[in-house]
Parts: sequence; C-alpha cells; structure tokens
Amino acid sequence: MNCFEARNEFVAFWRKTLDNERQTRLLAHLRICAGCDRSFRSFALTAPVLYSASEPDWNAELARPSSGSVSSDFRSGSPVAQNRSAMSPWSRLLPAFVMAAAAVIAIYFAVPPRMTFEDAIAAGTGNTEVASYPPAESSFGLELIAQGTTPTDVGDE
Amino acid sequence: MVAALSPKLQTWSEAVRSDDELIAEVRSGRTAAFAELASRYRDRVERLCQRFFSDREVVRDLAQESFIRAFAGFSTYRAEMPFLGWLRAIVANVCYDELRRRRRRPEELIADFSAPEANWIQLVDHSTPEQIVQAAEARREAHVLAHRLLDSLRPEDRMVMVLRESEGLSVEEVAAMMGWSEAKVKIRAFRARQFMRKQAESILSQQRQRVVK
Repeated sequence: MNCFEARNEFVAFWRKTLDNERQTRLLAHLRICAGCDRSFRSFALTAPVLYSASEPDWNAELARPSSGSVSSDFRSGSPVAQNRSAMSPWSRLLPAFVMAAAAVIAIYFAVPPRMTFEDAIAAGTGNTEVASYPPAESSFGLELIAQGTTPTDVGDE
Repeated sequence: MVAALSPKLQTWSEAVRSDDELIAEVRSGRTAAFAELASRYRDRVERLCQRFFSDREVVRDLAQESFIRAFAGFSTYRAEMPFLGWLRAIVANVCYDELRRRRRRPEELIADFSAPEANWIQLVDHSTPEQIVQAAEARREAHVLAHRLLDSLRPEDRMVMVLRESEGLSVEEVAAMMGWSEAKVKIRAFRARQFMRKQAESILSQQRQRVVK
C-alpha cells in the first residue's frame, strides 16, 4: 500500500467499514510511514465530527470522570453510573442547603442591628428612628417623665 | 398460520408506507403524513446539524426549523429528485444561515485546552490508530475539540467541508445545493482541508512541547 492509497482509507478505517485485509495493510503502512502516521493523527482530531455516525450523549458523559478509562464507563452498569444513581436526594441537596445557610448567615451579619433608644441617646443623634422606647420604670423612662416628654412626643419629633 | 398472520401483515404493510406515498398524501392535504416523513428523517437531519453545532438544543431547534421550512416550501419539491436530497439542501441552508448569523472570528489558532481535551490530544498523539478510533466513539471531548477546530473555519469553508467529507457529496452537488460555482466549491474545499491540517498539526506540536516542558 502506498501513501496515497493509505490516506484514502482513513475514512473507511474510522467508520470501521474497512475489510480485515485492507485494515492490516493500512496499519502496517502507518507503522513504517511517519508522514502518513502524522497525517492520520491530524485527521483524528476532526474525524469525530466529520466521520462518526453519532455523537456521545452529553448526559452519559457527565457520569464519566475526566481521567477514567476510554469507554467502559459509558456502559450503564459502570461503577460511576451506579454510584450516581445510588446517591440519595439528600446528599444531592446538601451543597444547595449549605449555600443557603451561608447566605442567611451572611445577610444576618451584613444588616446593621436596629438602634435602640439608649443607643440613639448615647450617639447623640436626635433624629434617629429608634426601634424601641424605654419602659416607664427604667431610669431613662423616669428621666423623660421628669422632663415632661413622653415616648409619643419623641416619636413625633 | 399464514391465514392468521395475513391481517397483521396487511396492517403492517399499510403502516410502513413509502416516501412517495407519504409525499402524495401531503400533496393531497393530509398534513399528518408530513409528521410521519419528519419522524422518519429526524435522525438524519439532526445528525447533519450536529456536524455544524455541538449544542444539543441548537441542533434540535435547527432540525425543527428545517422541517418547518420543508413543510412551508413543500410545493417546490419535485418527485423526480430524492426526498432526502431535497431535505438535505434545506437543512444545509438552515445551518449555513445560523453559521453566518453567529459570525465567529474565523481562522484563529486554538491554543487553550481543557484538561479532558488535553488528555484526548495526548491520546491521539501517543496511542495506536485502533486505540484512537475506539476511544473517539465515547469521548465527548473528542467531539468538542473537533467542533472547536471546525468552528475556526469560515462558514463557506465549513459548509463545503461537511457536505463533501461527511455527506460525501460531489463538487457539482454542493455547488447546486448552495447556489455557488463549482470553482468556488473546489477552492473552498482546498482551503478548508489545508487550514484544518495546519490547525491539527499545530495542536499536536503544542501538545508535544507541553509534554517536553
């Protein structure tokens, strides 16, 4: 088999339609001809799209580890596929649950606490809207009563 | 026994109607017959779309679009031509429109590879031809990388590459299908093959350099 004949057989070899005798001759030629060997390897980079009969299912691919064996993992009975199907719904939901919990905690710490009456007095900001008024029996409450100021008046200001 | 089977055989022969019968029914206004024609050719149509686009959703959409165009333009179909050939021309034009619409930056050398793609390139560079063919069947990354390589072609070059190489059409057939001159098809085919070879060799040599480092 010469180089021209060998290169003409690439497509049939890829599609597995080459008879045994011609395949043997092609492989023998590729072993001794560096140019055709290089040409076949270049051909193999585009052949999956141009010459394959079908493309592998994307969902099947997800079940295969990137460093796994060539094709055995795609069989439905592979350990990887079995492990995936054996995963409980809870273990699949765990990452989402952890993320949601982390988000809630982050929001809790990101939002400043509502200012109390005592905080507003201490900060000296009279116009601050306070979250709670002092009870009448507290020292602040008694002080306000002595000044003739009621919690309602404070709120109106 | 035969007498008992004959009604079933008759029903079966009615169920498996030829393309010509279905086409005649579509012409006579029975649109349900077109659905049967579409289901008969759906795999072929989707496979052709897959040679241009890797995204499964895009492929389904384009196949659907092709069937809609085929139905809308059914009056242009002539019985003397094979139905598949007529349908293939529609699919090719739908895909060509989509390729042009996307306007990828053409002809830039691919340099960055994902880990699975790098593994695949290494396998192509070091394994025997039988191992490469065997591995390519199941490896998604082999298809992804091939799509990326072909994506670097101009839309016209890619059309010619797929129609000539994958579909096995002659220069005359491609020219008639796309409405181009035969000279243009020949030039595009030559350019596309040369560019693909250059790209593939560049990728393999990059991989060898990476391994040496």
